This record gives sequence, C-alpha cells and structure tokens, in this order.
Amino acid sequence: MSEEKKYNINVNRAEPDKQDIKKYENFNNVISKHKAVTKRPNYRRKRTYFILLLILLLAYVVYLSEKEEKEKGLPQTEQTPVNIDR
Amino acid sequence: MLSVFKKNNRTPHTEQELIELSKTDKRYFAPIYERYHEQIFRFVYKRMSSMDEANDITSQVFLKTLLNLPKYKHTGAPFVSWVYRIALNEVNQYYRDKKKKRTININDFDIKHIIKDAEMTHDYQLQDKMIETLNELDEIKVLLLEMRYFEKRSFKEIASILNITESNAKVKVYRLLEELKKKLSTSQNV
Repeated sequence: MSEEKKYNINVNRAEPDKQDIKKYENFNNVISKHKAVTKRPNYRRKRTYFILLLILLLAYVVYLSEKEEKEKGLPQTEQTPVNIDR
Repeated sequence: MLSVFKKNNRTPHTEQELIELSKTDKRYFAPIYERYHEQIFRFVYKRMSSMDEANDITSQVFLKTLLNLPKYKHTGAPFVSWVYRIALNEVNQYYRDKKKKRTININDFDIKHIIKDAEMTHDYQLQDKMIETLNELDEIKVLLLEMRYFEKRSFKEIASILNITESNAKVKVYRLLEELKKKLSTSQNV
C-alpha cells in the first residue's frame, strides 16, 4: 500500500440537514446564469453584424464618392489630347 | 372561447408537462428545481469535500439541465436519472479541471454492508483494509459502490443513471464484490 492514494476518503462525515441545503436553493441564480449564457452571444452577434453593416455602408459611400469624382474628372483628361490635335 | 381560455390558463401538473413547457419558458422549471434540488445536492455533496463546492456544482448541474432541456426526450426512465447523469458528468469535469483527488464519503455501517454482501465476516481490521482497497479501484467501480451501498440505490436506479440495463448493473456490482473479496483475502493472507 505504498502507492499514492487515488481518493480522499472521509469516514462517517455528518450529513447536512434539510435546512442547510434549503439555504443553497436559488432558482433565480440558475435562471440569470442561463440568461447570461444564452443571451450574451446573441447580443454580441447582433452588434457584430451591425458593425459589419456599418463598415460595408461606409465602404460603399466611399466607393460611390470616389466613382463620382472619377466620373467628374475623366472627361477633362480624355478631352485634352483631342483639343491639342485640333 | 371561454373554455379555450381556461384550458390555456390551467396550471400544469405533471412533470412531463412542466418539462415540455420549460423548453420554451424557463420559469416553468422552478417546481422541478425545487423538487430535485435537495437530492441532487446530496448526490453531489457525497462526492465533494465542502458544501460550497457542492453548491457550485449543483447550480451548474441545473444550468446544464436547462441548457440541454430542448434535447431531452422522455424515454420512460425518470427525468431525475437524466439530471443525475448530468451531475455525474459535472463532478467528473470538476475533478478533471481542478486536478484534485476525488472525495469519497463512507460510513462504517455501509462498509459492514459491503463486507456482508461479499460473504466475509466483519472485523475492524477488515474494515480498515476495505477502506484502503477503495483506493485501488477505478472511478466506475467506486461509483457503483457509492450508489449501491453508500446511497442505497436500487439496481433499477443505478441502471437508469448509468444508462445501462438493470441486469448489467447487477452483474457489475456482483463482479465488483468478487474482486473486493479476492483483494481482501489476499491482503489478509499477506
């Protein structure tokens, strides 16, 4: 029996009373933990999608404004060589 | 119209009804929690060293029960067996995470019962040897002894908690008693 012991063995430990256990009863705690576990990822997911949508919208606005700028600037650069020929 | 209203507003009575309702509204789980809290707490406390640890694990057990409730299907076995199985997993997970030695709580009386079932004659030396021998057993064997002798569960209960057949539970316990008898008799001869 020189091997290391696998378990902590308690002999004749007193059993807790019904009242002692009742003190630990807390269903609201379980429910709030459940809410925390199940709801938070949803909120996070919603927030992530919202931020992604904002980034996409911003990128689209930037793209549109750049496109508009290009369209405004393009005829001038294209027409210059034509004008010189004439 | 009134009858429909009454039907919808009637309070659910059966456990099965409450379980089904809890799948969509968790508040319906409260009576089930109240009904089983004490026995699950005792089950966990038997395997823990303190009440606070047992409380943490017990609330974790009920949280896991709630989270897995949509997957629960009534197979004829009592609902509480399913909760016990979750409790067992949680206790095992706790010891795996903490890398602590598992706690076993036993009584002199229960040891006498094992010795009697192993068809050996009781004496205090043998009782001490039996406690020492527990340290040589695997987790599943300790679990069987705990449930059968320290918690005095029927083979039917043990079977439904471990998700095995009743006859399989009986065979496992009797084989374990044989093994204990062999171990004790060899240590007695040495």
